[in-house]
Amino acid sequence: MTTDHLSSNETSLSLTAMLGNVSLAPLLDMAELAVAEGETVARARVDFPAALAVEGIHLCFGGLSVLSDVSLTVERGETVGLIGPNGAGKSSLLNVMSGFYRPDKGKVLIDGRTAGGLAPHRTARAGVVRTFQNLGLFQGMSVLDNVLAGRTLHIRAGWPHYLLRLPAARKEERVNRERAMEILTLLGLDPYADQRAATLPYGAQKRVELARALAMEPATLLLDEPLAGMNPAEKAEMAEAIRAANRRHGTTIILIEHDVGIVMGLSDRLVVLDRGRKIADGPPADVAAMPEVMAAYLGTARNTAGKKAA
Amino acid sequence: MSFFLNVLVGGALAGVMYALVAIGFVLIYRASGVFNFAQGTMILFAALTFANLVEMGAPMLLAFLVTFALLIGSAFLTERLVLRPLANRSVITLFLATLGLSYIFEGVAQIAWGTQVHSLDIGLPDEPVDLFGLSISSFDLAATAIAALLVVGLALLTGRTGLGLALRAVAADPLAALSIGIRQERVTVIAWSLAGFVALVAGLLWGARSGVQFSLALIVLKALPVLIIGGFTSVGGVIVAGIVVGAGEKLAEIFLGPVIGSGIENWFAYVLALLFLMIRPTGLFGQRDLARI
Repeated sequence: MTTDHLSSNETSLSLTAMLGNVSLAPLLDMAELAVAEGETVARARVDFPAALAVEGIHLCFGGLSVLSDVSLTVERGETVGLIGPNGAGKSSLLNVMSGFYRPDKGKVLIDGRTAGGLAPHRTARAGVVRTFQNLGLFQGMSVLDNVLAGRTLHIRAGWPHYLLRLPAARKEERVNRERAMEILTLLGLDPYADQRAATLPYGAQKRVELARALAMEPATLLLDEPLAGMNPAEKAEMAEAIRAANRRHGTTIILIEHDVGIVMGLSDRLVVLDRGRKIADGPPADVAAMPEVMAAYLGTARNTAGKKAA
Repeated sequence: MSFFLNVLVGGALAGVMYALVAIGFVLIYRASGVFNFAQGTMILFAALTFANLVEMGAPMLLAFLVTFALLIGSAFLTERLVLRPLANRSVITLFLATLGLSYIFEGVAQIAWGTQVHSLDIGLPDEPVDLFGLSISSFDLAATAIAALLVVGLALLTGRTGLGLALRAVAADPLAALSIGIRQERVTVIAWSLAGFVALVAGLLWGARSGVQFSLALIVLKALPVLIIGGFTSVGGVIVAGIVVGAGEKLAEIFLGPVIGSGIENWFAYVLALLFLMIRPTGLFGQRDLARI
């Protein structure tokens, strides 16, 4: 999937070079987008469009403002950690990115194309795949079938082939099954392959969900607390699997995680949300040292002092 | 002994006809988690349309295809006008919507074709055939063969295929299914179209056996105990349950009837279903839900 994108973009770039200003339009669009972002003009001119970008997102539930004016650009192959206190709007932002929530204002761009108001299944088809905070597994199905379900977008042979068990269908079925088993093995889930998902321990179910997402061969993965409820050993394994997906397949990763140590180690960049606003965006070490971030997590010294005085 | 076997086999084959009705319910239940009360009137609508088209001089194949096309069209309309606006509502809301839908099917059938009773000849003879020393209805044998073909076809179509995975995924968790790129609307339309196809086959066989009339819609009431016994999620289960109910009620009628009075055939299935609800509520092959608490 990722390599397809790369090659098609390379072709269009070299075409641009050959044809001169005739087909510059797409590049100019990108430049404009970058100007709107206000910072990465030089890079966008020569680089690919961002894997995923949100611009000026506003989201309200009734009178409650959940996200206000959130903008964020994630480049291809980047790993971005999304952190912030409870109720900061992290999951809501992820839901907007994956098309599950429709923002009241603002745009979502996938590969530089507007995806505002895209239905969830179309976002997934565009290569942006998510996992859920509270598990979104097919509980009654076997672990292997869960992962195979992630391969449904890669099924090419039509149902008549399957109905008649033609070679094309059998080959495809074998390939999908092998891919699924590879991923299960990678995540240490192969002993569970034939068990029903619901019977697995929580940590293992979380891994099955990641396995299903990986089986889709996504360009971008949105992970909502993938390490929640795991013991330290499981966490380390899971973090390694996420890192491997990023390194091996160039998958762009956006993850929400509360374990600060792990999220700092995994991410190229940290984005901090607090009460629906983006309050920090930068390299993990810098962000962690910012007073605003500490204030959001721990409260400010002045507030505490003020309360005491009163 | 041979009389007993005759009753047993004859009843079992007749039971396949119940199962044929019940399969349509299973298909929709598995894909949308809803008990489709309109399945009975879909059968009526299909049989009436087919019978009228044939009476108007259409060849059987054409009448079959046109009726199936109408059922696919109604699957589209049902998804768009009934199920999509009610997405994420409770199961009971959906169930009541299908109750309304059943009146629509019945009303449309009445407006289009009137209330006249039609006899339907689909070319299956109903004569006693001698098989291993047993006398069996040739119609029941043919119906069983058709049901078997239907089940094998459905099993292949919804087994390891992409469609099968998508159907099960949508039923298991609609949101998660969206997150892996499954087009839920399309899966729903396909499930209802398949149920329409099953309704058409069931309508033709029931119509040929007992005439095409509005009471056809009431075979839903015979399918319900079969569903409870077989399990709402298992095509194989309702086949077995249909056979059990068919054979059981015939045996009870003939061997218990003289003792406790006749008319057992009318209530036997319900008592059996009641016992199942008390002892094994998931049915013979239904899947038990596991929940972590």
